[in-house]
Amino acid sequence: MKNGKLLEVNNLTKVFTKGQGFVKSTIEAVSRVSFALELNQPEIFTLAGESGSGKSTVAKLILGFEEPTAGGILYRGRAVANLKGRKEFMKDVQPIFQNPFETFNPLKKVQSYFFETERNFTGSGHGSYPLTDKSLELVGLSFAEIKDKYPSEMSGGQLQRASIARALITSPSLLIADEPVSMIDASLRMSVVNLFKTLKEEEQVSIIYITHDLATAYYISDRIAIMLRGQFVELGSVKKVLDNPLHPYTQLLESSVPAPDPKARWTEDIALSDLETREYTRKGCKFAGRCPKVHEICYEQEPEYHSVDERLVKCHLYAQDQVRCSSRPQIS
Amino acid sequence: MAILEVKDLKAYYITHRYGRTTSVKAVDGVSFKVEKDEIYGIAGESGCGKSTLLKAISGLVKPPLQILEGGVTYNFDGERLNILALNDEKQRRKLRGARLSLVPQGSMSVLNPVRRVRKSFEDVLYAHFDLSEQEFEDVVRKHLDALGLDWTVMHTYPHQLSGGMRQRITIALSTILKPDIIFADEPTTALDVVVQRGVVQLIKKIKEEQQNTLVLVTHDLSIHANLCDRLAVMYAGKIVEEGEVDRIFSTPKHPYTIMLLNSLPKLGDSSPRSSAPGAPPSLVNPPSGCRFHPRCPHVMERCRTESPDLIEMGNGHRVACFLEEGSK
Repeated sequence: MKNGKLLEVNNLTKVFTKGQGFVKSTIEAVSRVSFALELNQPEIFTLAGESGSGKSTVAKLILGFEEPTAGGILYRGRAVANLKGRKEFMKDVQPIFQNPFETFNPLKKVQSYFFETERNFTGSGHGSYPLTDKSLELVGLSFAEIKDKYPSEMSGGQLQRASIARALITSPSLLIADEPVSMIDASLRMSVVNLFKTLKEEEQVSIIYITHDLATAYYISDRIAIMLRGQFVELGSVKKVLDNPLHPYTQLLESSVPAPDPKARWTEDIALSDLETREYTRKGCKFAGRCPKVHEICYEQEPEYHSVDERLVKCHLYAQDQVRCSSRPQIS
Repeated sequence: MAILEVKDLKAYYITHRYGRTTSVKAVDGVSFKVEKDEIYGIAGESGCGKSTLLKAISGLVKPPLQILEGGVTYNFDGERLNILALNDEKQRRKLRGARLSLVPQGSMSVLNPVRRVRKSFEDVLYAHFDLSEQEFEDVVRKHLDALGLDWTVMHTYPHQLSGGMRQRITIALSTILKPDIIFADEPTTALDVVVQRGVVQLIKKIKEEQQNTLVLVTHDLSIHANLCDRLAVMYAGKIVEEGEVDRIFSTPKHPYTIMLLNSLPKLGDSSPRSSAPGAPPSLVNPPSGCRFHPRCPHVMERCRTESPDLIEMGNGHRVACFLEEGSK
């Protein structure tokens, strides 16, 4: 098992259907997504994309909140869908949610979540909770700070760290964090982001970090996958992908991150997004309607993954036998 | 010429419950001026009172929010007007939309979910003018065209639109009467980077076309860097630093501003960044003296008891910190 995979996602697809009979419509929220995390080689893997790109659905599928329509998820070489030792899997893979104020029940004391998790995990009765103390210490909190407190009495940053501490009680090997810092105050955000870095380095925890904030993704992650309308369009090491983006969509994303510098203001205008459903149902490349480098083929044929400069890019521009058009077709 | 002048404004939320009175000191002695045709930014974290400040200066004061002291004076083409002194709700209503306009926070819940977008436009326009149907359509069509929005959105329900589209419609709705001053409360929050850029693009375009003044409130310093001319940084109900945006980003003076700027991650730079210890204080019982002192790395004895005033550092740069008082 030394060189196996911790998590392997193969051609994962999720189709949502809406309505019935004649008014039935389907949306492919996740479309043939594949990636793998190595065993014994902790990394922070970022899923980035706009809202509605299907990144949260991927998280839900891995956690088993949704059932995939097609494709499979292998955890330590075993299929997750009908895993016998479901409990083992749940101990080993823990979620962290977006809004810490919604994660915790406002009427329950924060500590009760810790006690409950520890009791379920170790099977021991009431009394002392050594794992709770240990995991709180890992995130830089002490038990005194959360003792007898309700969620409303803590700050967002503290509470999010508590939420991470709760996930760490079972000493998981994989954390799935869905937009963990987007609801946290700017001055406290980095404390949570830095915590992920420490967890990876010192506790050997792999993290799937889901975000639309490319700046923090660049700061902490090792690999990044850019998602667009359910598909990965570019996948590779974060330095490669964000320092020198190849897919036109990644280029657009990268240039749209506002720089905290008044001298680097945006000067050019960008094409705004079409109706979401129109992009989901587009036959060719999903980005064709907004792409500044669009060719005729993009409307017709879905691009393949091309391996360019140590990464995968799903774009016709990088095909060997590229079809070149003389000019950009007009789109209305 | 200043179009808006806020002086020593104190706005508290005061509630009485079980014989106990709690006051949340959301805006506690704030003064600033907004010049005509500029983009004035207000930055600060959640719970620092920036949204309350906007409510107070646009005259949306309803209990439990109360104005304890201070004035908000507008200057519309030489006509001076204290909005807090207007007792008549009718007079205030006339001002809102036409003279000043608020782009509210949370575009998700601004538009009525059970009415088509057109109805919302009708509400705004018919409240101010007596228009025929044809005139209404002309006015709206012209405005939507100018903003690059499609007429078909008028027939949709809000849930059929994406978050970015709804935000754009909310902005279109608040600017249709060409107000002199626009207050935008977190217009880009909860949007993706690309959509966010689209909204910034739209705001710039409106400002160019209608020549109005904009007050932009957001916690996102990168957006301020991209749009604003001048910036005020708020902390726990007070302005701690104010000045031209270039100056604040190049030479921040207040320890809180420095800390905020240092915590921002940048693309292409993965050098370690840290955030400040502690958390923003509760406004029910704010710390004594300088409100930042429990988190400040340069705290002095004086900071615990005395509250610093904003002092002028030259070129319109004002800082509320005792450190600067000494260096001056």
